[in-house]
Amino acid sequence: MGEIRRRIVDQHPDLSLSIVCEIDSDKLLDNGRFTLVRDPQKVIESDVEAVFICTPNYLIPGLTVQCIKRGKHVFCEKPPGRTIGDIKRMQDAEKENPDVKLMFGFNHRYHPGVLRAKSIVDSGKLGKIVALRGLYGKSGGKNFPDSWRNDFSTSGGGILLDQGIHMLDLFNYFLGGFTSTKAFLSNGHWGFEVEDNAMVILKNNNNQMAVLHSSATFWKHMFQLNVILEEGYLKLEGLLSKTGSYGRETLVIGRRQFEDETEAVGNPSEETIYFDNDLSWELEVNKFTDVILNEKQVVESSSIDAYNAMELVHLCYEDSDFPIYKKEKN
Amino acid sequence: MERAIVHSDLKKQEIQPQSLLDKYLALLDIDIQNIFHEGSLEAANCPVTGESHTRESFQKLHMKYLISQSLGNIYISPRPSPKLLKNFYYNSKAREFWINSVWPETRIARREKIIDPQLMWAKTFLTQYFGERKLLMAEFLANHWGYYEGSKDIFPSSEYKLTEILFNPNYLRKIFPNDLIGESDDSHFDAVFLFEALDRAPNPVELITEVHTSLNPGGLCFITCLLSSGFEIQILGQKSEIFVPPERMNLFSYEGMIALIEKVGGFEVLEFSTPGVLDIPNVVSKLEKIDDVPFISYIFNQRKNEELDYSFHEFLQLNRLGTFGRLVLKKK
Repeated sequence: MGEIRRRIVDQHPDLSLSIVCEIDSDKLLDNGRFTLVRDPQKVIESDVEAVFICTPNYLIPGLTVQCIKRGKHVFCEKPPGRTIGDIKRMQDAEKENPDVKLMFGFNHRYHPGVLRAKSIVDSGKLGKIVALRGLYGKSGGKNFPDSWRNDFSTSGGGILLDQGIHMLDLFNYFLGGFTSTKAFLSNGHWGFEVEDNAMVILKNNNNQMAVLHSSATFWKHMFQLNVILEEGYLKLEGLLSKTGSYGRETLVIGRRQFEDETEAVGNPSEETIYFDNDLSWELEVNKFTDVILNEKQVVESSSIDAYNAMELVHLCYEDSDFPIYKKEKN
Repeated sequence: MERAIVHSDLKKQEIQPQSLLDKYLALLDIDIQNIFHEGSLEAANCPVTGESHTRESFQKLHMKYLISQSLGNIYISPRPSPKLLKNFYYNSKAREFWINSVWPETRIARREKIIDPQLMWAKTFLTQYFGERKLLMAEFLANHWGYYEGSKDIFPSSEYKLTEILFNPNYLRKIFPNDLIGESDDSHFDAVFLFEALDRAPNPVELITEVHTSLNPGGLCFITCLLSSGFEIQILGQKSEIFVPPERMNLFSYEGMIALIEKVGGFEVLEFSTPGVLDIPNVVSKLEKIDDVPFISYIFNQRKNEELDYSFHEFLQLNRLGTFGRLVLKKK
């Protein structure tokens, strides 16, 4: 993630990359234009105005809080730490330093398919949302079992916290206000101490529901979000990415057809939009830059959004009776 | 640059009943002879590149179409001046028939299957880029008030103006007596609509330049048009009934349209799609009259089935090979 952020910062006319902290300096062959350090304290003590924190989860809250306390604006990758306590610590620091901007990397909100789907929902042309259904999963590649993401002490959770949190954030973005949570977790395939599959059902006080299958055993990268509305449906599939591994990003728009018992149609005419250009990383960093330069409030991917997504993850963990989270709770 | 694939149950008969179309074409034949006298038209080169080299030419209703050598744009030459074109729209018996007979007969289907979906398409982009705020919008070179009427339902809280109206505004004053009808002042717009306006523009480069000038930075321009690179026109050529003069003065190819936008400059193309649904039925209905496309005849005569139609339709749209085009431009 750090590499992507670096590329975007390099391209941005209002940003100048001053210092990079990277333990593996082989990753940074082209380091002529910035200072390369191995100790994050050197970044914290430097005079930079803004910091992108792209580290394993256990490092996030400490680094974020230190940066905020020194008056540095922070863009922080998801998830916002390992626990609810982590995001609360960051929010407390934010409250004590109201001039500092804190934003989180819920990048999926800025994908072209998601932006279009949201604008269709907001336009009201298909009515209110009835339900959401998400599938988000990984192929589980060669090095997957060795990833720090599967180590509880480093990550704080499994696939639901690592990847599923994006979908939960989208659920909040489209619907939100969930008050009931049911979750089943399993580590049946990989046998990590954290989950490799999560099945989640959510409901809010308006009788709207959402269901998510977050998985590290799909054997292919997969992203699908269905938005079921009163007058139609949206199906968002694939995500534009550098490797194209999640498939072409498409949005299917279908309008409900009124059926009677004798002439069930069930297969309405659809419109499919193919997106070719992913500007999500640029849009996200533009937003961050805009709130800093124009002293605006962070309203998208804010610490409140981060808290809400993290809260859903931990409500699922609490509901699941999965051993490691039970232990943590006790 | 995104693209859309659209499936719809639109039938040609719903928007162009054959009896009305035949009468319209008969009147148009006379109008063209009466209004566009010898010597009143001006010779033109390719409206995008300015080149004079052509691949071929053909006549339709007494007017000459040329196909540009490099980009395959189809254009009328010699062509009417803007003043003469306006004269045609105001005084043509064919247009009068369209407004008084074709429009009332087809209004419901056109609103439901063409106009409202196109305005909703625009609304989705406008919601994405401008949120829910009140917008100032303009339609350029409108030749009827269907979109103006539709805008009242789709954009009830925004202002939709008509600029360079090509029909007699007295029709509009009669239908919308409470509206302030007249040429727009030189406001700057959040959105501009060119509903097949490029097709009938005597000078398309000038029109796109004018749109660029009149848009606010970040403003959006929505274009619908016919494309010479589309399946129907590529297969049927001059036998296609989808274009007649002088309404279709310019039919750009996919490449021609991109070149036009690049020539004017200052736009980002957000979408370029060819979401039409009539390419296949229009070609199939004329297969008997064309004899030099054996593979197409084989596909649609001997192998014809719904699944093939569906997948061929998807292929055309996915690869921007349909005859009806739609674009969204954003002013940089």
